Amino acid sequence: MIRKKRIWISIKYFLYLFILFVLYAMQTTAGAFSFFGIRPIWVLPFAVAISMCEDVVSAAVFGSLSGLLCDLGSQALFGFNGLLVLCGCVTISLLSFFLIKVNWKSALLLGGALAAVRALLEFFFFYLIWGYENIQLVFIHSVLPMLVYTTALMPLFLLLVRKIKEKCDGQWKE
Amino acid sequence: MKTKTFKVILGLAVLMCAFMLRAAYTDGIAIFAQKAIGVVVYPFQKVAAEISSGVTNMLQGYLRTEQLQEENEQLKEEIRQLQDQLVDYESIKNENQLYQKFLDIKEQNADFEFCPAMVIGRDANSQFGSFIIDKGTLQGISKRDPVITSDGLIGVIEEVGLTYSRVITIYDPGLNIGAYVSRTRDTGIVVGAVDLAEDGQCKMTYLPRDSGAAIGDIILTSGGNVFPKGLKIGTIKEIRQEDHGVSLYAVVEPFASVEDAKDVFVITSFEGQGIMIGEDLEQQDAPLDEQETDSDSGAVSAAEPSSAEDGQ
Repeated sequence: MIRKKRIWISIKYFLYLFILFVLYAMQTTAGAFSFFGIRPIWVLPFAVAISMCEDVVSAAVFGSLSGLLCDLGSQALFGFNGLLVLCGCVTISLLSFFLIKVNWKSALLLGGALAAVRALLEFFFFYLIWGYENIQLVFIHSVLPMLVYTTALMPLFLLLVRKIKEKCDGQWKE
Repeated sequence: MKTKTFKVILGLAVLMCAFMLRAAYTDGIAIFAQKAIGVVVYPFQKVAAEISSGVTNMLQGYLRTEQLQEENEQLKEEIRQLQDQLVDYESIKNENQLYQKFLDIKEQNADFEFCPAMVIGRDANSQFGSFIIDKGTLQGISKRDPVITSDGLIGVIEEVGLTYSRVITIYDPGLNIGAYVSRTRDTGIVVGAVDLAEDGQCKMTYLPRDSGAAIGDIILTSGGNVFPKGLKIGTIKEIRQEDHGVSLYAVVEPFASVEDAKDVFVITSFEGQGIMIGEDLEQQDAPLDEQETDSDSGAVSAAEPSSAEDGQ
């Protein structure tokens, strides 16, 4: 029983990891799922969805990994997004565990909040403090659409993670 | 348990901070963790990029069908234009080669005026290679103008229209050309013969019995008011005795190939063209048989004895 549980838990996390890498590949592939030149941060809503459905350690691990993947493809200091998303995912996991009901609305709210915090911090550190001209255009035409696009994916990933969790956990709970 | 979880989270947070510090320290040089993650995700990125490329190409193929059709039409039009240009190029190239050959003739005969023409039709009923050229009176061509190729004399204008002319060839028994053997200066008349025409040959009649003409000698026009002097006709292939035994005749193989002629030149004017001397005027009234016995005549059409030609 324990062995079966371990196997299915391993399969589940391996699947999460695989999906995370696939999403990262999609995120970094030029033109993939791009609308008017705007691409979402695919790994972020997936990490948030895992945080909402799994325990806090899983949230911390997948949050930090997602953040590091974001760092890998961005101009941010390596670890910046890792730390940020780690904190965000742990918070979301705790909120989901203790305070908030897990559904598509809360997923939109929590995922949107984390994406917004991340986007605003990045905008602040990489654009605002450097005093570039017309940076509001960057915020309006790039940061906000990307934020909306990323947030909109939240319910989809919540559904996906829930399905995987149900399938895998159901195998050993039977 | 919660303490353990907190330690894991704290450990991860410290690790992230360490990454940041290390990254800041190395100033843009990828640290080990970056490299490791990069290696792991590389195959995914590679596959994703290939799939994306394939899908993009496929979608573009569908989305750009109209554009591609338009482009295809443009390219076809370009090909048509290029083919036209190629045809023009080939035509100009051939013309140029032809003109180069005729330039030599022109240089040797400054008084000649040429009209280049193209063979546009051949008379299927003619046994003697009669053909039609694409130039007529509008281009200054007149009846009895000599027709040559770069190799030599080929015939004479027999019939002329506004934009076309019919040429009878040196195989035609109706065309008599005053000629001489270049080496011996023996004169005679080059005329077509039915039996020789089949082999692409004609004959030079009225050669004196004591003529020194031999096989390989070159035959040239002796000149007159139809043919200028010195046009190459052909070479002697054989010397035979006439049936009546009074004179000899030579079988002549023309230099110009009537069968292969595509581009010809009509000599529309040369020095002495159309000038009739008293002797000739007398000959005009004489019977045809008498005209033919005069080896010095330039050309005589058996069909039209009234237009007999001059002597040298």
